[in-house]
Amino acid sequence: MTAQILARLAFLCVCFLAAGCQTYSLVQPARVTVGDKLSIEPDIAWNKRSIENAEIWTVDGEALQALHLYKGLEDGDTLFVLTNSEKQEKMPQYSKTMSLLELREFIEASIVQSGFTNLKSLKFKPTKFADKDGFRFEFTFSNTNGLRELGFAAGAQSGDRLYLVLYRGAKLHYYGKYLKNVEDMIRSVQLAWASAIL
Amino acid sequence: MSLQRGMLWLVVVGLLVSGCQTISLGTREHLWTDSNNRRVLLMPADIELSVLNAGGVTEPNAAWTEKAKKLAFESLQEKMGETSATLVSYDEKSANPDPDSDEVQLLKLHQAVGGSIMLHKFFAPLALPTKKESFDWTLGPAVATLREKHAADYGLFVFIRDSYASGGRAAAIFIGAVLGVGIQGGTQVGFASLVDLKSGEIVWFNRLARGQGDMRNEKGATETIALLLNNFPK
Amino acid sequence: MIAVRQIGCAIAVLGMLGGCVTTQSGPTYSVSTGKPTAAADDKLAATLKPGAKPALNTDDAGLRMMYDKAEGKFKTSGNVVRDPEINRYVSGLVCKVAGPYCADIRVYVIRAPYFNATMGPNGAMQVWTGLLLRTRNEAQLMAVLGHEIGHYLRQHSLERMRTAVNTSNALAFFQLATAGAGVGIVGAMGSLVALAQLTAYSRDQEREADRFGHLFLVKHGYDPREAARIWGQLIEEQDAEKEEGEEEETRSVFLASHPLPDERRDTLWELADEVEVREKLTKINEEVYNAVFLPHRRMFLRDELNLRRFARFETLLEMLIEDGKQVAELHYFRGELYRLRNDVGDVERAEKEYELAVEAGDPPGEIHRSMGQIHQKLGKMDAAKGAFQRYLKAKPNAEDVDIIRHIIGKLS
Repeated sequence: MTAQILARLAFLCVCFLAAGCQTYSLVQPARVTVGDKLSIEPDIAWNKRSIENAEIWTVDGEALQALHLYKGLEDGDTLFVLTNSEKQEKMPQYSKTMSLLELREFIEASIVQSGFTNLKSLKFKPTKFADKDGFRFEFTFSNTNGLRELGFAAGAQSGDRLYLVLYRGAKLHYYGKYLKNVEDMIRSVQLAWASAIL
Repeated sequence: MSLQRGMLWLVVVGLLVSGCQTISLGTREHLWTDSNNRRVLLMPADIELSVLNAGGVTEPNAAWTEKAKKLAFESLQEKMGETSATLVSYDEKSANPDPDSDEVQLLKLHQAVGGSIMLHKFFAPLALPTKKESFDWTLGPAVATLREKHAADYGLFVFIRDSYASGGRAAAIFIGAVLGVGIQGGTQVGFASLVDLKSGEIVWFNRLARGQGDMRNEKGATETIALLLNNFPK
Repeated sequence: MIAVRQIGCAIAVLGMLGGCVTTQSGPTYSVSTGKPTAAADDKLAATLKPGAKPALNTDDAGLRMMYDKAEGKFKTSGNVVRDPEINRYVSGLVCKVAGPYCADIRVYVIRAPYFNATMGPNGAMQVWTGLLLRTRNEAQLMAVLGHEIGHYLRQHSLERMRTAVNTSNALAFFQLATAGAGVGIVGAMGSLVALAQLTAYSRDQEREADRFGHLFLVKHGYDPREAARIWGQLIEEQDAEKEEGEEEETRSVFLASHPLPDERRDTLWELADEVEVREKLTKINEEVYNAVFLPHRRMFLRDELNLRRFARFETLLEMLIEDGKQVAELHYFRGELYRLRNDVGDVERAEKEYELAVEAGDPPGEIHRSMGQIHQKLGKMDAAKGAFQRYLKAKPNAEDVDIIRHIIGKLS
């Protein structure tokens, strides 16, 4: 019996020591702040967990759909932090001097470097993001198991930082399930820094 | 992605030490209200039997696996008969081989959904607050492909991993016990899920995890399948 | 002291168990006829009979079952290259080498930018596009295919699995001994197949497979020196990477395995030198090879660039440019490499490469977009605008025309 309890505790410790294994908390449909500058207003409830430079939101599980809300990438930051240090070294780093085309290359290369395959670029357009001149591009790729996914990135550079939202999900059902909610939510993004200037 | 798979195995191990053998989730008590004969499509059953060697590595056994698959099918057939449904099997050879086809993608999506249910419903630290009271996973409307092609009402997915301690492993367990070291013996883990092929909804899901069970003979296979179909809607 | 004794004990146990691993001494079969043959007279004797299906209750059947499942998975992973001509060509070469075993082997060309090929004990063979980008002619590809088929014919995976089981069993008792008084749980170490995949082929197995690759080349009239040249090329890449301080590549099982590339190159040279009729063995079939793969090379190069192993890629491009085939795309990719690496002087280097690509004629349409970016960086705004406009003309339906128009607007 004692051995069982010990084993269970050991197991839980292992779990919590492993990166990316935090508990999820509830996001209510009301304006919330992500990091120190970006705020956003979801119209449905989400589950979220925090990683170093972003929050990851999901409704049905990250394997099915995930929304990455970046708190503002700074010079030298990587889009994803991989547990494999050798691969992490190859992760492209953000630079504030990146052009729009370079930003897409940065984001797409990060996706490829984290092990996704069959990446294909889709529509790439200029668009407003929190009243700033931003961008939006779509892409499709496969996970390691060959499940087709769709995704898009929307964001803008402001005050040396890149504010970015990345949404991805299984092409079958899950990407489309909350696409409209995500689109509406992105239109609600505000950057506190911008309003302070005004 | 590999982290997620690793997590999944941790969950399985956690379940093993946690005690209870099966837990099921469902959205409906009855599959149908009329008495017409219905068809349940058994998706390619992912069953694997192996020997757990002294060193703790599992070695797949093809003979046991083959037999267990046959026994499982017969047992599932009988169980479906009890709910006045016919079990039909999915012919993998006639399936569309295109990786982007709905048929292939649905199988992969189910793996992702099944994994998500295991992770977020059966492992408390990763519970999703929005799903505390609900169980509403689905494969979406693309399941129509399966409904039309196989004239089936429901799709049944079965996944079982069953291992048995080898003689050497048994010896290690014995020596370990003497030394006060707990060594894990053979295990039986699996899950089954039932998908409504009209809506895509997962109407029932059950997971199995225990340190006993034996799918190598008819009696053991029947017992395992009965446990796997715990709380199956009538 | 205690530790030393324990290690000694473990080695003793390993040694005892090691004794259980018997090297195969069963019947052998001729690769030419599939008929039984004496291993002593036939250097190319297989331990496997053509069309053999092991009895279900054997470890061989269990191993094949797992690989069958893995095959089902990668078949639908979306990474299999489906071009009929490539498949016809590679399968044809495999059949030529495998002879009576042809029907037992299924080849998949996998879109993955690493120098790798694998062979499952169930007959499922993978050839990665990163390899096809690096082998330069039919003889080189044949050497690799022959090597992999050698692993299959000599059942190296099965041997490897048996060793893994025995080693882990020995380790279990060792762990027990060390766990001693402490309370712990010795859980499952994981799937054997996963473990076997991690364990590289042994030194001797690699040597044997290399010898098979060599003998197949000779048998079919190819220049056997090409097998050694592949390794020479890879060593150049590896050296560049080391110089650059980039991490050693570990992903490729083919490369990570013993013996070291230098040794393999040297041994293959020696084997080639020993062949008596070598002057007659001149076939490399470079034209046939290029006709099949050059039309697809752009995709292979794009995937390679995405890995961002700049030092390796630069060396590889250098070698390919020397070959002189479709150099426009090679200069374009070298430009891309410099543009993405963005070290001191790279902007200028990139500009030069793009110019060379345009001069060579018929570069990829994307080159104009890249040139636009480089001109912009160098402050040549009019030139940038012109380049972006040329891009729109070359790729009017590209997915990013809206953003390009937006950029042009900003430049005005």
